Amino acid sequence: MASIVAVHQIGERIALQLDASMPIHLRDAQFTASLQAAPSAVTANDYFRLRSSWRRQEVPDVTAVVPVVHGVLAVDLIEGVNQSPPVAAPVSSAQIVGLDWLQMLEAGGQHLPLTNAVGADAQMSPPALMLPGTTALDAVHPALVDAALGWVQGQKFAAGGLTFEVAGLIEGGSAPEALASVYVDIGLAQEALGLKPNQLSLIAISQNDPQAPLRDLLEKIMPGISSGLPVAQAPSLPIGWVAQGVAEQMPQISFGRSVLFNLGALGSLSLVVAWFLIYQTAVLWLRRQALVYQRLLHQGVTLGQLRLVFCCALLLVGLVAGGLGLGLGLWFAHWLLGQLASAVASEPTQGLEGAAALWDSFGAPVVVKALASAGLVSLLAALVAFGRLWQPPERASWKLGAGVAGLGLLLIFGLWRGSGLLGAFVAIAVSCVLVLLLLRPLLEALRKRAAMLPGPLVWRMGVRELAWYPMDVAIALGAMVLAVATSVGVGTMVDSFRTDFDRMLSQRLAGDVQVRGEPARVLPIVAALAPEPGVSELRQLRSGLVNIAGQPVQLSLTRLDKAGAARYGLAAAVDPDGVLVNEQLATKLGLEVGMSLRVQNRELRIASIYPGYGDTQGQLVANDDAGWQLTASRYQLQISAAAPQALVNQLQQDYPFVQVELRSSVRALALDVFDETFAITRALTYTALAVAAVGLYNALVGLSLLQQRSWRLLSVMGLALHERFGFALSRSALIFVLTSLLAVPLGIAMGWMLCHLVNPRAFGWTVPLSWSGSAVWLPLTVGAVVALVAGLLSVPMQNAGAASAGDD
Amino acid sequence: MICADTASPLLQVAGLRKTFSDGQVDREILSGLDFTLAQSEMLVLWGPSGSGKSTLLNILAGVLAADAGSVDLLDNQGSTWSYGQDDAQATTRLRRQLIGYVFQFFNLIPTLTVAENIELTIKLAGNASAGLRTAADLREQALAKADTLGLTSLLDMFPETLSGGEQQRAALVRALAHQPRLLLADEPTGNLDASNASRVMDALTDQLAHSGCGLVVATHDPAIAEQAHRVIALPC
Ligand SMILES: Nc1ncnc2c1ncn2[C@@H]1O[C@H](COP(=O)(O)OP(=O)(O)OP(=O)(O)O)[C@@H](O)[C@H]1O
Ligand SMILES: [Mg+2]
Repeated sequence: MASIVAVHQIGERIALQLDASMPIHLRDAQFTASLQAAPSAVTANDYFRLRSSWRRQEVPDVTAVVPVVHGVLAVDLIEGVNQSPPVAAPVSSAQIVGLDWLQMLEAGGQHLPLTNAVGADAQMSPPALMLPGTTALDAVHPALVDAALGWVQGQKFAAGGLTFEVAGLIEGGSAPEALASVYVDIGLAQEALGLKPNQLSLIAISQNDPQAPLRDLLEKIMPGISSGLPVAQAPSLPIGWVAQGVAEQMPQISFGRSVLFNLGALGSLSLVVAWFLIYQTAVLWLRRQALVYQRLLHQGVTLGQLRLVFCCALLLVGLVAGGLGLGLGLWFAHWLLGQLASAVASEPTQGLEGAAALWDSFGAPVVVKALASAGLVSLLAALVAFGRLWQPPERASWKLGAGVAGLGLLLIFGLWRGSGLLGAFVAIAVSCVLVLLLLRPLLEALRKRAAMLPGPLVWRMGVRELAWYPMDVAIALGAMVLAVATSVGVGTMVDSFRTDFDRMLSQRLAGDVQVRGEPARVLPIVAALAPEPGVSELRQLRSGLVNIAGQPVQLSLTRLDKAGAARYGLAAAVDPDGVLVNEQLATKLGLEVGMSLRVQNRELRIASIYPGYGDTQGQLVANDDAGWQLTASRYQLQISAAAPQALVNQLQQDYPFVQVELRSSVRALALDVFDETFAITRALTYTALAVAAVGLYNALVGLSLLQQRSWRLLSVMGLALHERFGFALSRSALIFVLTSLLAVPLGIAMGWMLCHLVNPRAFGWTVPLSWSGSAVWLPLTVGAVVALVAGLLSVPMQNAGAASAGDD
Repeated sequence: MICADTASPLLQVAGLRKTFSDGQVDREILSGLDFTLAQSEMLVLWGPSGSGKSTLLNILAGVLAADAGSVDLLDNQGSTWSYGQDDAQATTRLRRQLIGYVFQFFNLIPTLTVAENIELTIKLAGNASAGLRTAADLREQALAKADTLGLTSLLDMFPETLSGGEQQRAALVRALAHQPRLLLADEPTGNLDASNASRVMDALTDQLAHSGCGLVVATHDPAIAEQAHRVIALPC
């Protein structure tokens, strides 16, 4: 329960963080609308056309259509209200967001993008009616600013040559690493950003989603689960328009969701292991009570009454455990987050540092979840154990065969692409069950061949003891196999993700220095650097949206010579009419290498399909030439230089509005963030192992109870303490061998399914399977230690005299 | 009836006391017990239930420590093993080499075959066993004994597949396999029909005659008491 609660708390935390990394003005919008013909260029006229058709009810379910202009600008605080010096730290740049001020006023400050503006309605006044290009330079305009800036109402600031006054604050809770936002009237934003008078950045659309309440509820119960559910249907816009999901346009968010989703799945794993544990306890308990129950039955108590009493007793145990787990889980989550915060102390702004704020998200859902799952798990365990005691299941081999065949069919169903994400999880679950089903027959086969076992007698005894009680042992072993396999599977998945991620970084980050920014800001750098003798290579990359088969697709243009093609993992240069397609787009449109693809009236041939790690959109890469008419939204330079650090320093000083970084630091940061995210995943799988360890210990103690008379006999025969430990050791060795034999293949299969079934189906990209030995040997070592410790601890230390108290 | 060689006492028990306390009440089970046992002598412990027969056997076996008194056992090289108040840890070697113990039931390790159960005793006794015989000798003798008790075809079976009488005969072979100096039997025939009981008792007395070991039997069976050289009656 502790690990379930911890997963929940951490998951909720990550979900909050993901929400915060979404710009405030897009949080209530699910889609953006763009023109099919020219996805990058939307004008005010287009907006008015869309809005009028919306008002004519031609666009069902849409609740709001909002034009937005945004861009990054330098801001300068002019004066404080009544404090000097200003309390706020100097801020050099902010995200300027232009919205329809009048539309907002009509809605009393409660309108779509700014539902959480504080003090806005009191202070906001309609700005003087302005025509584009006629703004009075000396006028002061109202602005709503992100509370994260630390400014107060009444302060004035300058941006893009205009002067603004803080009219209200917005509590956005934006991600710490994101730029703070400033909200102004759309006309002012256009002017400040130097855009054409009627040019828009995007049109945000808010939709009435009937499934939203269900989604929210599920999300409360299991943070991250909604990322695995089908996304809301895009609204059907008038002909010529396409809608694109807002979340889909933010790769960091979808990457985060993928992690969250895995966390959620892991959370349920510990529930399964817990079930094993409680079931085993129930069986042991019943076995001890069996005689008493028999007597009670003879005295006229009904089986139903006995079952009721037994179930209530276990339910009580479950609820108490749930309560304790709740407390422990909160502490555990707190501890894990603290560990992570100290592990990435260099990057304290990751937001996970808010461990103290854990209590904030502590609410009814997690309490209900902990108690309900604890209660359900113990009730189920009690019922099954009780049922089996009085009616031991008939064991016919044809039944087992039929079960295995059925599961095999299910597995094939899960492997079939059309079965979707659900199928992928079915496949994982089925393979687990199949392996668990193998356990008992395996132990029974071992028992059949027991007489032929070679080796020292004490060792034979230890090994056979496991085979002698297949039911007790199979359960404990099952929990152990499951825990180790998951650990191996998740480790393999994480390794694969990391290898893939690492390779992608090595390929794509080609130059020593990386420059990114708005085209207008980056282009001067190209001109300035061209004559520099220290610059050996300067690769330009521009990208913008184009329309392919009715879908907006990111087109990147660069030189695809040998080095350029190597950025996408290719060995040779790409022909001038060649195009590279990422996996997501290829899957969506059924594209294959060699097919031709029409992009902007040009006939291109698909030269390669590249794995688009983390891409959520379709992407195309083509050779740049003068023929393209692309409104680039992003411009990127990759520069190889003799003195990279000096170049970075110089560029940062000369061009404050572009992002200039060393390749090594981009790479290190990216890998840090990656490792941090997955550290939680690993910690949780080891928790499952710890739970399995308790289960194993339980089972071995149970065995020792069954074996009490053997122990006594052995003691009378003069078995020394070290021989008893030898006996326990051989038992542990067999447990370990069986666990490894089953868990390693299962774990690798799980890793494969996570990489090749779950990820492509949930997020569209395949991760090639690769593992370092540590993904296997680390869980195995933990498993070995667990088996050893549980085995040794369960050796009875008392001698025969004390044990013989009651005589037979 | 076999004649006991009373000249050289195999076992000497002196002033043995044992008190069990369950919380408040102390109950003295043995209060200063003295006796000797000669080679090839058979001694029966007789007494009502709870009189301390099993307790005494456990002390003689070295698995239970007495509160006072001593037990001296002579091995066949002439050295004397003194114990009685030692804990079970200290008497491990004694039990491996010199003691053979037969219970009323559950005398075999369920996860070992009959042959392996016998082998375990021989292995535990080690090479020093009985000073003279090698493991191979012991194995040969045990197999011969198993043969006379009709167990040859059952050697590779696990105990749970044997009948009660077969189990008890196998237990006997196991207890005698290392040629112990002192044989202890706690109601060895309690579960058996008459014919099996006499086979078991015959095997025991046969062992006395041939190896010169001593036998202490706790029993409620008058027929067994009749066979004994001596009967010690334990008071309730
Ligand atoms: N470890 C112990 N702790 C407390 N009391 C004990 C212990 N072992 C034996 N006793 C008590 O000592 C007494 C003698 O027990 P013991 O088993 O020696 O009797 P017994 O003569 O063998 O009886 P039976 O003929 O029924 O086998 C009994 O009352 C028993 O309860
Ligand atoms: Mg007794």
